[in-house]
Amino acid sequence: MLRPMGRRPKADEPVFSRIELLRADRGLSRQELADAVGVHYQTVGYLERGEYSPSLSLALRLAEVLEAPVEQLFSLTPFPDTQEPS
Amino acid sequence: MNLKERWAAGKERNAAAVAANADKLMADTAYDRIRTRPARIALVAGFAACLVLIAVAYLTLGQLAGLVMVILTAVVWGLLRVSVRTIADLPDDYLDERQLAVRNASYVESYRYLGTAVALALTVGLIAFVVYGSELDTWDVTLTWEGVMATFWVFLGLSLGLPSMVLALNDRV
Repeated sequence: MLRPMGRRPKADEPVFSRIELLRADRGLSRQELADAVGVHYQTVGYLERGEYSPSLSLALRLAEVLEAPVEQLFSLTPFPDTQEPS
Repeated sequence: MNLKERWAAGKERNAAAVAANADKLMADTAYDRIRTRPARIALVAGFAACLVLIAVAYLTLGQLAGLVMVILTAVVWGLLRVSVRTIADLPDDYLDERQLAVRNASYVESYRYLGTAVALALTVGLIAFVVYGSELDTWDVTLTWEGVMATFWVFLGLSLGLPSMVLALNDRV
């Protein structure tokens, strides 16, 4: 699909995330995950709710800590086993 | 210890203090009562009201009342900063990428508000000049100490506080 130049997709193209699921699987609290990837614990909450799309480097750090490929953490389409972001 | 070493030591102490304060505020939960939506709206409204009252106090009640209002405004500004974890004022090193993005967006928005306010004030001034320009010889503008203080503190407060006000209203920190 072609997009007009100079316009970034925003709310109309949410990023779906499975961070909460994988974090729970690994037995990590939000604070522990935040410390491991070097962000504030609130930012983990925003990522889990799909309200913030991380930079590539943060996405890779999250993937490393959660021991999962990036495409298992984030998707532009809903994951079959997760709810839609609020 | 020579002056250069003292300067370096002072700079190091200051950086350590900023780091300690940043860590404390980022992990702080003691002030969560002023981080709720209603509390932040109240703080923003209170800060705006304080700025207006500084001018009113200086221009109608005198220096002492003006100074009391400046101190009260500083207290409200402090609470407003704590309510947004001083994100508007911390160096980049202490913010993560989302906080940086939110902080930067708040500065853009603040600049637009301040720019609009200045442009409006100048436009009103220009219109007044065009309309009443022929009567300018009869104008007698007296610059008083209270008038200068009121203008100084209101604009200082607005320029320092606007980013935190925008952050508080956007509710993303």
